[in-house]
Amino acid sequence: MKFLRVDMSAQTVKFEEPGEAYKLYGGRGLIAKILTEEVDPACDPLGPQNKLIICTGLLAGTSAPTSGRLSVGGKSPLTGTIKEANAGGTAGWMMSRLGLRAIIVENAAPGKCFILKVGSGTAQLLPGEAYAGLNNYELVARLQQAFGEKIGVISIGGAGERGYRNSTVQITNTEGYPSRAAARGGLGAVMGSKGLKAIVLEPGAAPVVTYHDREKFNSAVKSYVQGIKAHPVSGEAMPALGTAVLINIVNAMGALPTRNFSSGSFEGAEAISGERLAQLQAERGGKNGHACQPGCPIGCSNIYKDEKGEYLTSGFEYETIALNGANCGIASLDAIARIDRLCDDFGLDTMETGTTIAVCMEAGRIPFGDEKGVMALLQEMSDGTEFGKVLGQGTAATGKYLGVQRIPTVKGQSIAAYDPRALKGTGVTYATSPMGADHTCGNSILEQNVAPTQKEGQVEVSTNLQVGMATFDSLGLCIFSGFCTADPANIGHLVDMLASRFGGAWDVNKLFSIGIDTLAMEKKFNAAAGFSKTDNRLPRFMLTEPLPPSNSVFDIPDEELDKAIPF
Amino acid sequence: MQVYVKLYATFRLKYKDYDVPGGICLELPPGSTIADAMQALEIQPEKVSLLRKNEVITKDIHAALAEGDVLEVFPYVGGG
Ligand code: SF4
Repeated sequence: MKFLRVDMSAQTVKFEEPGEAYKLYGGRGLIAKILTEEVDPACDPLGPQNKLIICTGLLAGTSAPTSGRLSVGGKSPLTGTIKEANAGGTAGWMMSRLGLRAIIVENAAPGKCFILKVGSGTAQLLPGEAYAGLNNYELVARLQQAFGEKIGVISIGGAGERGYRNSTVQITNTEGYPSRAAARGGLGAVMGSKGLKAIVLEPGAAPVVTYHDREKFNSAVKSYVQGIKAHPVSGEAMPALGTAVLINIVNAMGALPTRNFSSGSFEGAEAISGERLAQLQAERGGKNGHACQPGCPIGCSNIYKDEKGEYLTSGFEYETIALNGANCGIASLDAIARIDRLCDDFGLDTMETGTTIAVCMEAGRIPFGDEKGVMALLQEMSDGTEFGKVLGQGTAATGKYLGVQRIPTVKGQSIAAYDPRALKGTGVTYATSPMGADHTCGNSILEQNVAPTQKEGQVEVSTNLQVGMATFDSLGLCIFSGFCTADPANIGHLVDMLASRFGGAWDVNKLFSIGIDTLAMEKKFNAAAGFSKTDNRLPRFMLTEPLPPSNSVFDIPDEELDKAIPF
Repeated sequence: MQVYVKLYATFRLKYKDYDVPGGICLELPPGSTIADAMQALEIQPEKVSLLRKNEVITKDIHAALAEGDVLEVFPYVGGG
């Protein structure tokens, strides 16, 4: 698997053999390695010194389930930290079919607009002025017209072009819709700052992957898939009801962010639940149990149709629904789906957008529950009005601008859809992850031994999860395929996959050392960028303001937080 | 006595005409416990991740139920 380096200043492209030193780096770990070796941590994230890295994981190109995950990284303009955001969709799978491990976009062509077209052993920067200013849905439709329906597209909408720090990199799904997002941390703005509008991937041919022991690999994959299917979450709940299945239970736990994190329980939860979504889409001819990438045996994704039975959006997820629904006081799935569509199209992180809007609601700019008001604010972002540009800088910037005290962010990135006062293990992750507040770095929702509001034991829970997630993000596997690793036999199958793919001695420790090394590199980058342990803190209102109905506060002392991820 | 059981996620899918928001009304002998209610609905305790009785989280499946109690039963779910 090769690296493709793209120099946007010189407008040249170069394929490279990465060499032995990179053999065991993929996904999030590879991003951390390249950034720590090649990018000055003090650089301006939107300047030419930053690099945009798009890569696949260690198991990419194989039959390992969900191994087509795509990682996108760079220094984040939202947080100022290192950033890896990953997404499903077909682009990771296609990169493997084109023999690519990574595309590294360097330098910048400010004010210009290019399309990078990649085929098997070929890459060209094409003039993209004709596509400038287009949002993702129309952009992808036009690119499909120009280059064929089977292409994969990695693109930015207007938000990335405008340099919004809450902008995404969007990725096409199995239907060719740009509905999967490497959403967090404003990487769309990094791509925009380079003058790169889209990467078009030709479909390619079956990937060429060498195996130490192919037969053993296939057998490990088979057993692991059985493990995924036998697990009640990845085998039953997610295929039937998607991630939105969490709405009702997180509400019952009192952890569903409601009206800018002022309550953990929303009276309209049932109306925006996964159960309701599945029922509605069965009536309208939409789809649950949809796979966002080829080879996913889970299929947590969906195709969401509107009242008229027409396609509205896809990959409509729990976080989006909770943060634009309950957290904005909106109890209509259709309303939230329209927000989701607009965000995917314009290229906004739905999570950061939901928390930003809720902060506007708290400030009295629009009332809670005002769907039309939300659409008007999104339109302001799209039009680039002065206030729209403020919104595009994210929740922390908007909160400060409006004089709001209760701003739910860590390191400038918004907290996800689990209030940390009622799910404290996830709270430790929000506080201490090198990514800023990010639930995908270690969500304790399935933890059975340590109660969610208990103070003791959460640092250890979070640390173990953070190592596990950093490992999965580096293998290039969707973290939802990892629920079954609660059973050690399934960890064994993963170890077998790595041993039979790469050769050499592998055990559980070597497997998880991938995550530990990744976290260590990320922390090193952040330290050099000026971050210290005092940045690893939750917003102070969460330490003092009890969260109804449990009336829990986040009471894990700072000294305890400092013991998390000690690598 | 009558108690109401609200089912969530995959537990709910078994009932085609499941009533939201009422749940399932069960007729149980006085002195019945949460475990009895779950047994009546053929729900195995090991498949339950969260239980609430009258909106309060409980782990005690042997707790007695009273007339009009509302029980909420969640299987394991994840994602996000
Ligand atoms: S589990 Fe969901 S997000 Fe993960 S690969 Fe499958 S469809 Fe995509």
